[in-house]
Amino acid sequence: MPTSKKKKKVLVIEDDVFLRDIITRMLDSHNYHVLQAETGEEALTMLEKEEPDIILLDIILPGIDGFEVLREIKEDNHRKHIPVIIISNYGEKEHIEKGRALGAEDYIIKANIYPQELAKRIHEIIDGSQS
Amino acid sequence: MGLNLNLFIVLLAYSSTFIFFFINGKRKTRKMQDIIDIKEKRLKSTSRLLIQKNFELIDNNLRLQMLLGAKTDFVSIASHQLRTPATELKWGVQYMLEGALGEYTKEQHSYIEKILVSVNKMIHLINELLFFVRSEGDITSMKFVPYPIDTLVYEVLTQSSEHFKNKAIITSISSQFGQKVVPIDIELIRIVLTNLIDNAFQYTPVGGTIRIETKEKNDAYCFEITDSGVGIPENNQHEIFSKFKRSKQAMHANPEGIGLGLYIAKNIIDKHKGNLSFHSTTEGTGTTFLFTLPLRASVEKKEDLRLL
Repeated sequence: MPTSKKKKKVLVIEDDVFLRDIITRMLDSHNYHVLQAETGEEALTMLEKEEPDIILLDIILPGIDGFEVLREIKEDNHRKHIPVIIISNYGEKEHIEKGRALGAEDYIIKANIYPQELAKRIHEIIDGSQS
Repeated sequence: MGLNLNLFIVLLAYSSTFIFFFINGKRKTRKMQDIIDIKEKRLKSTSRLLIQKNFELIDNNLRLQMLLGAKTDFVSIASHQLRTPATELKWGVQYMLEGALGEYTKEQHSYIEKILVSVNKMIHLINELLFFVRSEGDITSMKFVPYPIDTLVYEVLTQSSEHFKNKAIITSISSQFGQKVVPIDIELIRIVLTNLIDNAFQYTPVGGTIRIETKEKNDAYCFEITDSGVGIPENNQHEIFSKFKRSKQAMHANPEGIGLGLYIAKNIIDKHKGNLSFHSTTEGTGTTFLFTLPLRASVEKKEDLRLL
């Protein structure tokens, strides 16, 4: 659980409404402030104004794919510092390597975990960096 | 005058005979030439036929490869696609079990739990399918690289130990092979090691032991893993590498398993021209699985189809 008074912000980029809803509820119950985006384009637009503490990114998205979104985030000087966790049901070695190469912090296969593990991982990354 | 006539007749006879043989010889030569011509024609048409068959073989081979590739792609894509509704089920059901949508009766709760077990089994099957399709792939799609295989062993052991840490199993490893390299397809051998090591953890009771030994022997890399687990009943041993076959003990120890792990492992080791074997008793001495890998890659190259 985050210890600071101000809630940490998580941007969830996921096109599956059902999954996005469950993730959001779970993160909410872990005291995170959740921003939601259904497409890569929506997320990038949001990122022009918002600065989340961490981003959960699906790869298969309706418009531009997650890798493209990741590339643009890491090319943006004002946003490249934000850790990105890829959440995808594709998980062949080449996808994981590509994600890591583009700067993703982690690559998680959704079907193999429960949502709480996402919260745990987020906590490790953004709350672990706190002294 | 008579002498001249005789001489003439003799000369005529000789020259006739000579001419006769000459003409006959020519005829024979022509006949032989004809025979040679015919044989040559036949040879040419047979050659043409062979070339045509060669092309058909190449064509079929390509088609088969395309089909295999298409099959692999299809299974891969379908398996990945299946993960999404499976995830929805898994997360949705778990959300219900947490009571976020209200409390359930004991019976309702129990049923919903059973559904979750089923969903996880399905996800496990999808994962195995993905492994399966990778290992069934065309041998030419494997990438052999000289790699310090014991590094991989340590990696997988660390991962599995973490995954099964609740079982408090004591593991030990004797890596006599060290940092030497072996030509392997790294990801496929990782699958083999994961299968063997996870199996050892899976079928060893809490507080048991697992021992791994690696060494070089007879110009090969040798990997041995011994557990203190339930053992494999003798009447199941002949089926150990078959698809989908599981002993009662296995089903009890790991209800979610589907019996593909060892089939896949054997497939991969075979493709590396190695050997996978085991010995086991149910008398409490556990099971040992061992595989060898040649230190030199001697994988058959695809035969070039030679054209005439």
